[in-house]
Amino acid sequence: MANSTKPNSARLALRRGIPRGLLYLVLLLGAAIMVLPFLWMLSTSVMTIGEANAGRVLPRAVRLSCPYVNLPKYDKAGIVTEFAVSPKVQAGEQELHTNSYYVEIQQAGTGQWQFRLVNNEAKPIAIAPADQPDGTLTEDWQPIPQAGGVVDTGRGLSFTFGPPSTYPADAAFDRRSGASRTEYVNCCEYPTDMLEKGEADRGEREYTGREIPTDLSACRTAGRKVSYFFEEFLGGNYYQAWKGAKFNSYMWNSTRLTVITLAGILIVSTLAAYAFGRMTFPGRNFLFAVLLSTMMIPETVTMIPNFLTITGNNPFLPFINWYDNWPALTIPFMAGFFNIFLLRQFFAQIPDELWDAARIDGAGHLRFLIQVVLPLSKAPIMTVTIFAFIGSWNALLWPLIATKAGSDWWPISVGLQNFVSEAGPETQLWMASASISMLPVLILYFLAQKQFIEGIATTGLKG
Amino acid sequence: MQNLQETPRGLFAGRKGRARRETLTAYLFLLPAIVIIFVFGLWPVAHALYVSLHKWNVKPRGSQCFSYWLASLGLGSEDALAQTDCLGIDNYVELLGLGDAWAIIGMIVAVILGVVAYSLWKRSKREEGTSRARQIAAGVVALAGLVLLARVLPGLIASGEWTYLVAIALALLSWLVWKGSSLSESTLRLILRWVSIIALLSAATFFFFVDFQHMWDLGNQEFLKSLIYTVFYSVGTVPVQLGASLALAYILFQGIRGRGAFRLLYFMPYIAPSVATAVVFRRIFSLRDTGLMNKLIGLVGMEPLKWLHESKGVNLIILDLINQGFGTNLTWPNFSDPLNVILSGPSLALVSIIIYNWWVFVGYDTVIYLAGLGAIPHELYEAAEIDGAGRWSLFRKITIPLLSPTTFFLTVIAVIGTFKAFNHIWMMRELAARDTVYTTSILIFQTFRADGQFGEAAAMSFILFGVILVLSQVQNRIGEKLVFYG
Repeated sequence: MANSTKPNSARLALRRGIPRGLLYLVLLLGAAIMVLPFLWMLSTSVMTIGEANAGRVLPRAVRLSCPYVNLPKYDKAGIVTEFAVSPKVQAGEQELHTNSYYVEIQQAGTGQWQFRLVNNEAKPIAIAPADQPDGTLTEDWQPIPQAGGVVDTGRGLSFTFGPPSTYPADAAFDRRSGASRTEYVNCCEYPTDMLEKGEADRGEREYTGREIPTDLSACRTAGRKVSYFFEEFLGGNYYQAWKGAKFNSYMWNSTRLTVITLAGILIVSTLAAYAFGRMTFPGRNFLFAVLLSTMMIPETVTMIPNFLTITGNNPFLPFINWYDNWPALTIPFMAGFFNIFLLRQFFAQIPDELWDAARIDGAGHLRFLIQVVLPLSKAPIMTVTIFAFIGSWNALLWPLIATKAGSDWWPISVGLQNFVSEAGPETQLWMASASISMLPVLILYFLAQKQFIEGIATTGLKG
Repeated sequence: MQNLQETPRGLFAGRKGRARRETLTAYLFLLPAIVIIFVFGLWPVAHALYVSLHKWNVKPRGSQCFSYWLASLGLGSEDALAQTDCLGIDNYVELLGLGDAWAIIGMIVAVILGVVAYSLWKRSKREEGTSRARQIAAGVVALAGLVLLARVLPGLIASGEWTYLVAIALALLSWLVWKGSSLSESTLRLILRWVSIIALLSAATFFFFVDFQHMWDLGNQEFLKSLIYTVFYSVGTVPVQLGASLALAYILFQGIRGRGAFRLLYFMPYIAPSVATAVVFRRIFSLRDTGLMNKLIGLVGMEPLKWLHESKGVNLIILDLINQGFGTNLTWPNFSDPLNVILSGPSLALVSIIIYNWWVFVGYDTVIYLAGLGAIPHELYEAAEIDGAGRWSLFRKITIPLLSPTTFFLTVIAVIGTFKAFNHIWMMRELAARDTVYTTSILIFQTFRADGQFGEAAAMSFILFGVILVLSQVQNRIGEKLVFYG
């Protein structure tokens, strides 16, 4: 009660005026803008390529589509009878990359399904005739003129799904009901292998994939128990991004490098900060000013000489040869004076009486630092740790310089930028990889949000 | 007790010894920090300066500058003069298009001497004791500056670079006029002062453009363009970011419920790794009709834009939109090049990056502003309320002035940050945007890494460093005048 009677300064300022609802509206709008990109990233990362390209906001709850065109032809019982070769889908004059096309099934009414051939922008370019019982692409399919789609069915292009009679009733399509889509989309089980097999059959490459069973009803049963969520989340884009880009190596590298950098920064900075904050010695102020001035120097100035240094081209340190190795990626980061500055400000405030008491007990500086100062300085040390963690995790410029192409030491930031430049325009994979690399930092943020915000609000800098 | 009474012996004994011992311990503690900061933070500045005097292509070779200089003084072998990688200041001259480089350096030194003389003279008037010595020193320094100026003036006039001098002089003059203002001035004098400041500044701007044209004709246009883009980026980013965050912080401060939750969410873009969020925004600003940004502008009936793939200046795009909207047929006038680059504005690709930047930093600025608002004593508001001040005048007369240190801090951080920015621009650049998103940092990295031009890249980085130093000095000076520290 005591608090509420105390006049709040700002409340006074707005006592009469803008209605409160409007204020909340503005704040909520701001929050939406801040959070929306993250949600969009997560949502897109579990979409199929078609959904992502169509710019959908949410993935479909159930997808009865195969993301690839190169599928085997199999009869209504699910037995493969023929392998499709070189499906050719033309849009006008242009022959398009075939794996961007897929057949999807749209619900046209209760118990009614319509098959559509969809291009990479998720625009339907052909529709199956209404009486067609399955998704086999035949000459009867109607091209949609305004989409400019011409479907060449003369090359053995064939899509077949199970007979519609086996599709579950509408209720089962509800994602919340836990319906497994694997049962009906078994053709997706081996999509990349099938694509490869098709190319191998045409003599374009050697087949290195798994053996594709002729009877795909087997994998239909195998996948039955897998729930929609896990299949999509772990077996879909995340799995593909993780595998396709060596993310386990990047993750492990980033973790190792961050731990080494952090340990180095903490040891180096606490020692130096203690000396600057609690000891008197000749040259202290001068040294402090000199080291402080390094905070002004932009990284673009130091990167070229530092590259020369780690490659052994520093005339005074010719023995250093750290290029493409972990010392190059950790030790230069320990040179940040900001951490020393931050800790010094705190150490200097520790009362002298503590030091006097410790000295009478026979403690030296090192013992005092470890047993008294450090336990008292948990908050600033936490702040330094957070800064250093984020800085190290997010470092891009220097790791790009200090490693060679395809290095085994690539941290996640470089790995991500490489993946993005090589993965092509597959939005859903980009989003999956971005969320993978963001995850550790965001988890830490939500666990230690107070330290994050307070630490930065009081010091005003990111490492 | 007995120990204390023993006579101290040895190097570390006694009072002196204890101090000696403390010094030794302190330096031992400092050793790792000194070594690492020296090798990777301090030494690189000297080394970069040295590299920038060379023409190192692809592989750095050992320097030949020393032998070259020795040889040019007649001390070394003649061979050193013939085969050399040593360019001296040529990298800088070529980048900035300096016709008569030494004349310009002389001019800069003369201007610095003039400023030093002025501040000495100013201080001699303020302080009593050493005023005579100060005045003499000021006179000597000013004289040296004048002599130097007279010495370099023919060179400046001959190469057409005298405009630099005029621009600097006009800018300094307008600064003096502004500095001389006081609170007790009459309205008429205030108006006169502002008119003269505006006149002086526009004249300075005019001469600055003449300089810039000169630099453009002779210098490295890629580099000069990158400086323009960096300025666009900075100017586009900072004011919007600060304005929006001040508004949000002010609202949040009105005893809003769930303030912590809002703060948590606003802060997220800043804390998330920028490499990853830039990837997300690269897709949000996709050129597809179905991209998130295109769908958003589609809601208000706009045609899809190419965003990060668009190299066209934003003013040209606005002109197109006007033509579409009103059925007019306005065309962009044909400006010559540096002016055209400036007047067409940042490319839409750069604007997209600027928007991303707002998104990242608004939350951060809000948190800092919140801390600043919390520090304003509420008695001030109460007193003003009793005096009948309205909501707007409370904000205008109390909040804004008392927040000025925070604003100043945020401005400095943001401006310097935009000049150093690398990660997200690097991640968001699309080939189609060409070099319109190449801010100076990106260009330096490209010159160094892709082209292997070590010397040129080092020279560029030094010019950027110089710009950052000058900017922070200017901001400090303006801050001294504007910031109200309680």
